[in-house]
Amino acid sequence: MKKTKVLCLILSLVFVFSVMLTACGGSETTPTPTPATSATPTPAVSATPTPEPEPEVLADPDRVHLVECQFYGDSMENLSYKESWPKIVEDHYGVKITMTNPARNNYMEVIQLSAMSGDLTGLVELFGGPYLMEWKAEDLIYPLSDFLADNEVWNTIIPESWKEVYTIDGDVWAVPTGDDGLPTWFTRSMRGDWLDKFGLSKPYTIDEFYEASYKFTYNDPDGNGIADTTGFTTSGTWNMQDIFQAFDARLNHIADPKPIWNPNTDIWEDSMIKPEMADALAFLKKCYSEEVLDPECFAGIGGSGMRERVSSGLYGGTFYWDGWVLSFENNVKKVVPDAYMVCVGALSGTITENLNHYGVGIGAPRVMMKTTEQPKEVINWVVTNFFGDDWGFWTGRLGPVGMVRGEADKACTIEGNTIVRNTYINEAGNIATYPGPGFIGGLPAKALYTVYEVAYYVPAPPAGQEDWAERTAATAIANTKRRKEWIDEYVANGMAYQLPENLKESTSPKYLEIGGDISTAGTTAIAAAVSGNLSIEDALAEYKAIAKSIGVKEILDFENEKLGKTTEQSYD
Amino acid sequence: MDSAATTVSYKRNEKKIFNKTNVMLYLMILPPLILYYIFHYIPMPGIMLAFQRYTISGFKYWSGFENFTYIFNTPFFWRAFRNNWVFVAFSYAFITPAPILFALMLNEIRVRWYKKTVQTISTLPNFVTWVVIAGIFMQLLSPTRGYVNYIIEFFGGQSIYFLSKPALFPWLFTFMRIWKGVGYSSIIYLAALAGVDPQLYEAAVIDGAGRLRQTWHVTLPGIRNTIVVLIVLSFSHVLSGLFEPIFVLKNDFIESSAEILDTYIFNLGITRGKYYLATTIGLFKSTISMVLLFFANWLSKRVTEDGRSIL
Repeated sequence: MKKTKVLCLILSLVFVFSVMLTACGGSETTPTPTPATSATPTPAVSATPTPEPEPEVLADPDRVHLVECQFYGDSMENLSYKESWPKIVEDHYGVKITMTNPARNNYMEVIQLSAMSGDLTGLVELFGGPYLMEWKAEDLIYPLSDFLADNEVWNTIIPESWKEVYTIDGDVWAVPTGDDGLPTWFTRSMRGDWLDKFGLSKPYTIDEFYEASYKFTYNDPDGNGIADTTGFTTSGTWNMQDIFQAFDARLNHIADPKPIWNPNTDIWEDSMIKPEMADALAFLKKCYSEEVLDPECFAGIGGSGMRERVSSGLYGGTFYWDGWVLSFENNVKKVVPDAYMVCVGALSGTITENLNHYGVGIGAPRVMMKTTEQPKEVINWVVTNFFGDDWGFWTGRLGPVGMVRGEADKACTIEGNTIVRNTYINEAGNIATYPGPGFIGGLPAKALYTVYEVAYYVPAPPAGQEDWAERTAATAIANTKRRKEWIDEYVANGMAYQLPENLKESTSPKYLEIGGDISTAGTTAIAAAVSGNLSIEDALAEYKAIAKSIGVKEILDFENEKLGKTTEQSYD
Repeated sequence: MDSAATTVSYKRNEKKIFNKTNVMLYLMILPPLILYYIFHYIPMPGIMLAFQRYTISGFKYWSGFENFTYIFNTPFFWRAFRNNWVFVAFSYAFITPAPILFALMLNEIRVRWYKKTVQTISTLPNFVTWVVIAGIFMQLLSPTRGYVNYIIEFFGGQSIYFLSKPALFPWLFTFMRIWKGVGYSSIIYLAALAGVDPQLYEAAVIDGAGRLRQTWHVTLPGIRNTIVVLIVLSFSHVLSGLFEPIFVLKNDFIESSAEILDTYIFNLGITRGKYYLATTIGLFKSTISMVLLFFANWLSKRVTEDGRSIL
């Protein structure tokens, strides 16, 4: 008995001591005062009134900390570049630069934990709008409007549309990575040479697509006498949005089965409880059971698995970034030299208009953590130097001159497009691409319609390849023209529409709370229905029950109220 | 020194917590104790998160049992909870007896080199990480590139995508766990078998017992205590230890039968930043484990020959 009492006493003491240790372990960072969102920037105080107050001259920050994903590739790639870039920028501008580059795979998880511990500081890249809304709601980040109110570059060069995208409650909360302003969208890449072989033209309808995919699977398109080809592949729902769109059972812009805005009816809806979803699933179930659709489509093959499969030359295609139509073509050509890809921008089915969406890219948002010292100085310095100064812009986008871009005077203009070298022929005689920092993604005012491809010979151009630079540049321009023709065609025939950034995802607080659950419930139901593990009716009923219990309707009501409409769908 | 003096000295030392004899032993146990304290006791007050709204920006407010109400009303939680118990049932039905049977079979092998070879080969998978094992089985069972389906198709069958069938998954997973762990887990039973008195076998033979009867009446009673202690000890962590294999094996097809509490906690806490909900489920799980631990302790007093408890 006595022993038990002593043991209890020791355990109690240990526990109390642990509580004390934990309580004392809190972050002791000195909070930097938050500017009131509606306050105007503090002008320089002068003792005597002057008719023309001097504009505030903002000093450079002492230090800038950047948290970046995919900076010179993933966290363990190009380490020497990762190390050199901050030093070169530091030498040029005289401001200390430090960086953190968590791995792409669990980037958001790592920085969320880091934010919780209070260690995350500086300018931080986020993966997208929903995170931005959440971090704003969590009071982790500064609004930037007041900080940048007097910034000339911000006011004159940065497009207003960029600011609008990251404006919430009247304040701008992030600075985008930037982009050249070209349309970005997912399209279906399909084997043009296989279509030719069967005398088929590029499909525009879901039936034509099925016919082609079926022949890709069963009519031996590669002619090797072995049944080794598959109609199309996908990683989960991600690479078959166009099929859902054909049935007007849309998934959201990243293929999540979450509430979406329907451009044809201008209303927010949950596709999972629309009758059209049953039709879409019936189509996919048929494709799956016939193995026209990759049997491992929901087995977590991931983006790399999907790309690898299409590039192998054994799959008819997939639905992915439009630029990948060309990349797939190049990859497949290594296996089948005569192969080429066609771009299917949308498939019509139940509906024929406003099927597939595109956006004008602006890149990932960068937010300013409230733990940052000199936040105003930091954000102004970054915007001024990386968007307003040529050296900073190109160094942020492609890397420092002399380090990865060769010499500045070798950049050239072809057909009105600035061409900057980032491809070269290495000592082994192979074409190689310099890795880039990607800290800046572009700016419409300095758009590189074809950024790529001018030779940088090491040590000298190989014999007979003196015109290689011009040829590759011409190819790059031709490819860009092809991309432009694709988007033009589908915009002209009404099948593609521009999805406004503010209608991509719900801003409802409920959405932030249950978004992950909706996605899980929807994806599980789709996978179960397509694979036949559950009947389509049961899978959708299961989803409906879950959606009702977690309150998805609240999100629809919230968004539709903003549009002045009433949600028509019911979960009862 | 005479024996009486030695006895007195020994008894005097016995009363001291630290003496020359045991101080080194205490020092040896110190590092694990420190580690245990740092990683198991210092974080313990973190369970308070279960009663708070605690997000990525920190403490918001005390929420009482709000988090518990939320998770108990979430279908995903109950699905994960149910799946956990399915795996527990499969574990006790198949995985626990497997090394015992394997040890009994190995014990019957008289060719020494063959026995050692089988033992070594069967132990090897234990040292392969689950990530690799998952990769091996995914390749083997692939509907397009897997050898299993090549064989099925060779004999005229239809290829089956095994890892897309929720009903099949618990069976496949149990098979993988047995394949990975049976050799290693059987070591302790083989050691116990070595301790069975050979005279008992001789007596059984004289009484006319065959191989099976010898196993039933001599071998199994001989290792009964070991079996019971290992089973009882396993009760306290029946809900743990499955995160890694499930995490690497599960996919959207089999989510309904593969999601368990640990992966759900990871998804809620690490991926989605809902630390307070993850902690709530973690606390719920720990409570169940603690109840099972006390049950195991109570049970051990009753089923072991000397009536000792494990605590």
